[in-house]
Amino acid sequence: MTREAYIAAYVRTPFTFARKGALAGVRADDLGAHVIRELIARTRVPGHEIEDVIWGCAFPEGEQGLNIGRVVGMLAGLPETTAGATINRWCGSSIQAVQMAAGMLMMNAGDAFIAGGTESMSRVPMMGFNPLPHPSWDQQATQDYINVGLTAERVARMFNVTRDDQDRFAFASHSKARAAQKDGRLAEEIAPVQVGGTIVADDGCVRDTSLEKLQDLKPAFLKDGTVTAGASSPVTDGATAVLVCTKEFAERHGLKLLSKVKSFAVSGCAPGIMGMGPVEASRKAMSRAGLTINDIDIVEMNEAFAAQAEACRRELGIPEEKLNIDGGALALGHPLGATGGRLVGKASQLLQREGKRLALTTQCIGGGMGIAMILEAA
Amino acid sequence: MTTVGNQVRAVGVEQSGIRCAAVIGAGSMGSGIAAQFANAGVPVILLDIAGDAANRNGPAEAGIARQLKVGGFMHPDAAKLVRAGNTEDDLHLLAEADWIIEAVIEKLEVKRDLYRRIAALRKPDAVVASNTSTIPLAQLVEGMESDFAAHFMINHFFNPPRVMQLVEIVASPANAPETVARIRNACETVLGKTVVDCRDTPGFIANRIGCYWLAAGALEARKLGLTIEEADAVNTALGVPRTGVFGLLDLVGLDLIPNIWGSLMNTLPETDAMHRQDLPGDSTVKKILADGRFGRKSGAGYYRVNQDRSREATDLETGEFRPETPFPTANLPGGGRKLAELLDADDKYGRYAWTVFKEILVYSATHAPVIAGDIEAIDKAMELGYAWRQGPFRLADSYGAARVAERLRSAGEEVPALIGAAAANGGFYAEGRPLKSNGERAVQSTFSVSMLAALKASSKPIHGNEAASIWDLGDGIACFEMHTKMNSFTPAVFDVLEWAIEQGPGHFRSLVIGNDDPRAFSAGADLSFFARKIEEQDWQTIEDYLVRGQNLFLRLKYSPFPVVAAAHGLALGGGCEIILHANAVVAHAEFQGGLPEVKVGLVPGWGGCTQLLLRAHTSANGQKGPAAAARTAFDTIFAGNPSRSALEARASGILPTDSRIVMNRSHLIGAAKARALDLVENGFAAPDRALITVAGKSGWLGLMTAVEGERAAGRLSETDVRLAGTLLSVLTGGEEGDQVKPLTEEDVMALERKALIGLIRKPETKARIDHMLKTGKPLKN
Repeated sequence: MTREAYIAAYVRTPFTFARKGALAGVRADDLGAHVIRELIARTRVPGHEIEDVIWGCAFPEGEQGLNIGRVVGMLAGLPETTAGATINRWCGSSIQAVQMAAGMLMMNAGDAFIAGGTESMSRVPMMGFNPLPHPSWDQQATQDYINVGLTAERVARMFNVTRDDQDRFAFASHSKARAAQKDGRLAEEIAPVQVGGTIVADDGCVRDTSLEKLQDLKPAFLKDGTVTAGASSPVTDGATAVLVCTKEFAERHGLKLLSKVKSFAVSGCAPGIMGMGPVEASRKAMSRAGLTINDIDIVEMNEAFAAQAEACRRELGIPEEKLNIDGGALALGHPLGATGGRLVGKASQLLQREGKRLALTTQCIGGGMGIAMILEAA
Repeated sequence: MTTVGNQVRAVGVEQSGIRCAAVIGAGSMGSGIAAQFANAGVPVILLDIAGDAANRNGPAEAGIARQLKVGGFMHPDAAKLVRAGNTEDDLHLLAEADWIIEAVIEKLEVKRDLYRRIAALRKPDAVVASNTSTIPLAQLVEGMESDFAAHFMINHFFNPPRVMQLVEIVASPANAPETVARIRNACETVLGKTVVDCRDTPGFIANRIGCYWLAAGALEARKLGLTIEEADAVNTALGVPRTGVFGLLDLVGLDLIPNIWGSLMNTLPETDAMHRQDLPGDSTVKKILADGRFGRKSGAGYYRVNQDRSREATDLETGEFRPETPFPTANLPGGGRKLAELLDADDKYGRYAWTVFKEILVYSATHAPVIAGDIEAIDKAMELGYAWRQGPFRLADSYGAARVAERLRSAGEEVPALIGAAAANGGFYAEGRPLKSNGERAVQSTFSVSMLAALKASSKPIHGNEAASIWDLGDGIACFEMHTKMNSFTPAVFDVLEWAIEQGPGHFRSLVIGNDDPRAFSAGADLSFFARKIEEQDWQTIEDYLVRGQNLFLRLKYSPFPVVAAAHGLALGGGCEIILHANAVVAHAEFQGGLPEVKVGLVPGWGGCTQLLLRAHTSANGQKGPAAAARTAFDTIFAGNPSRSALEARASGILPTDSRIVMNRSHLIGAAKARALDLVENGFAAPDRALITVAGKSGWLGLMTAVEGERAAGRLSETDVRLAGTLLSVLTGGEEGDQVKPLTEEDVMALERKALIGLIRKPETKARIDHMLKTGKPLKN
């Protein structure tokens, strides 16, 4: 019998602005340990039955170094017998972590895994403390690999996503997230964090804005360009975790399954248009599941930039009403290594909440890659 | 990661006995005074009235926030030394304080009520001081128990407290001399101020004379038919700040006129000339106030800046606005530079200048016997409290005391005794000795001068030339003093430095580098020298000059005797680089050091890149790793801005983390000498030779990505990017750089040289240099 991988639980910290946000003072490994503890508490799964902690992190150095995948499990109080690994596929790290858990499970190398990720962009800067790219690269190649803001500008130009398109896309994302927060639709997934004497329970990046305000912003990356800070995901701190397990494991522990991992794909493209990564990755993942975009009910696509997210939406033919219905990263924030876990977890919850069958999660990845995972309601 | 906090206890704080201070009243004065304590590294309690239930300490916290915004703190970290509280819940905290300064509202009963509550819980020896500017000391302590009165005085600060040098102390006969001495020393050493002793008379000294000047200046302008722009220009030419009379009244707040002058006129006898200068009674003032024009705080006063940036000025006859007609001081008789020509001119400007000057001088001379011990107290009060270039008596000496007396006599006016005495005895000052209030010549000035100034007045240098000298500070400590224009480096300066390194050990045990220039420690290399050499395309001379400076600075660093930099004022480029090579630094708190070479299209070439990179690797602050250290050094050099304080310079690596900080400028050379003695007496050994890890081509590429991103966003020009690339190539070890092959300081200095020689040939560098020489401002190209 083919073994199948399910998502049985999802939890995350609030996402807050890097440096000025409420979680800036908390180490990335503490954020990670917090969501693991919360996941264990909510599911009441015995720690010793967890085979491995598979942990995404885009810049695993400094406080995020030392194999943070092992560190977060130990800090969370998992038994020493549960292993831990750090996965780095930059922004795609924690969808990749889910895939690795699912892959191990499907080859019968364990029944239950915690997959997720952490990024403290406050405490470990994007591109790390000591960026040392290969000296054979020229300026342009290095730029394309590292300066993702400029790749968004290029995508906007190539795919004709105007400034107005971006402002409207961003405004929609902000509005959806604000509404979801006000209606309490985000609370279920959030494990509040105690920082000193205060409890941080809400996402810190979600804010009221207006189309006019967004239209007033200056370009952030290119003089006379179109990509503004309001149409870019903010630098963010946060951690996410999902429980990946077999159906039998879930039944044995009385867990309600959320979704089943149906297919997965990664793809590559030119680093200079990395924002288009989701297109090919999603097509491959849908094709492997025998699906077309018309079959998909829910899409959780990361919004690194409004420009690339809108371009991908158009290329893939995603109806607006199916996309990021509780808001996306433009509003919620994008803690690099943690975001994939949010997309998988959120899509799984939404399938249940909305009574839908199929979800696509996908992300663009710096350096020119895409990643996608199809989930089916369990 | 551990960080070194940017809160440093200044030199002398420990000995001052002020371990904890308190300020009550978190308005702009109170919070500013609290900030200055924090700047000196002294924990300070700041109390204000209680806020609402949500935040009882809200008002005090607002005061701290305001100081953070207006620059009252020398580094934001210093604010962490201020503990906010409120007078209802936290008064008991005052039991900790050695010095309690009251800066609450100018209402006698409010103050006296507060004193009664403080008296009950103050430490036995703690001094309580009021920052009042209007209430006499006698009234403040009337009826208070004798021990409280013995520990009570007035300490009158000026706004803003970080900037204004003056503190007026009014003591009472009840104070023990040692109590007054303790607070006087604390004002000078801890807060870095200059103390002027005042008597318990209305307005003390600065505001008494200052208010008389403002009233006379405003009323005489109207009488003599000057516009406010013309009057402000004349006053500026007399040496007051550019705001002149009307601009200053706008700044102070015109709504305060009835109160301030009212209070002075109420307390001064009718014979006092203040009554002749009835500013609140002036019809124009009355109209302005009736129109709700209270000065800058209300957006309009004598002057108004409109939304469209157009400026208007008040017509002194009608009180109505009309378009401003700027009046440059250059249009005045004597070009606004020659005092005598202005005062002697037979036009309305000359008559106005003479009248204002004469009024202030006669008023000061008439009242000096009552309000001050000597004339210098009055001059200092005006120079430090009102930022006048010269106080009235020094100004009179510039014109000639005898000439003043003569003009008064010939106009049939009375000549006050002090003016007569000055006219008869060679001026108000002779050889720096002021007249006392009784007309006798003082034996010496009562104001402290720097150790170097005292020495220079009485001895000859050990060695020197027209550009620099070496002085014997005593105890085997010498002082290397530059005295070129802005203390910039010239080959002759290097000659003396070379002598010090080679012959020094025969003459001294340690070398202090410092001077008493009011503005600049050193403005660095002489830019016009480079401009000339570029014109002549004499690259070899430039390179030789670079080599010479690099060698000298490095030899200084590794010399067998300790080198202590007494850093102060502006230290730019080479001036900053020599400090980077010192074995120890004692810095004045308001130190403005930096490496602005990029602003003229160059990189630091006398070891600045090298030493900052080394410091980024070795300092406790900052991230580690080859690229991280290069980035830290790059950020400081590429920004090119001088620090706004010693604490800021220390945070950016311009000053070492073990720098000592001196609050009072005139104490600097003495403190540097003490540091030098410390080093020689504790077995100084030259530092070990350093090796510097570099990030190589890879680090260069990584760091350039951020620079390229800034260019794309339109924040850097092509020239900036090329300059950044050159600078980064020095900081990452050049073409051959590799993180497993550390470089010597000489290696990195060779890269500096190569970079600078490459840059200096570029036309865009020449354009930047020429523009800077011509305008004093950086060119963006």
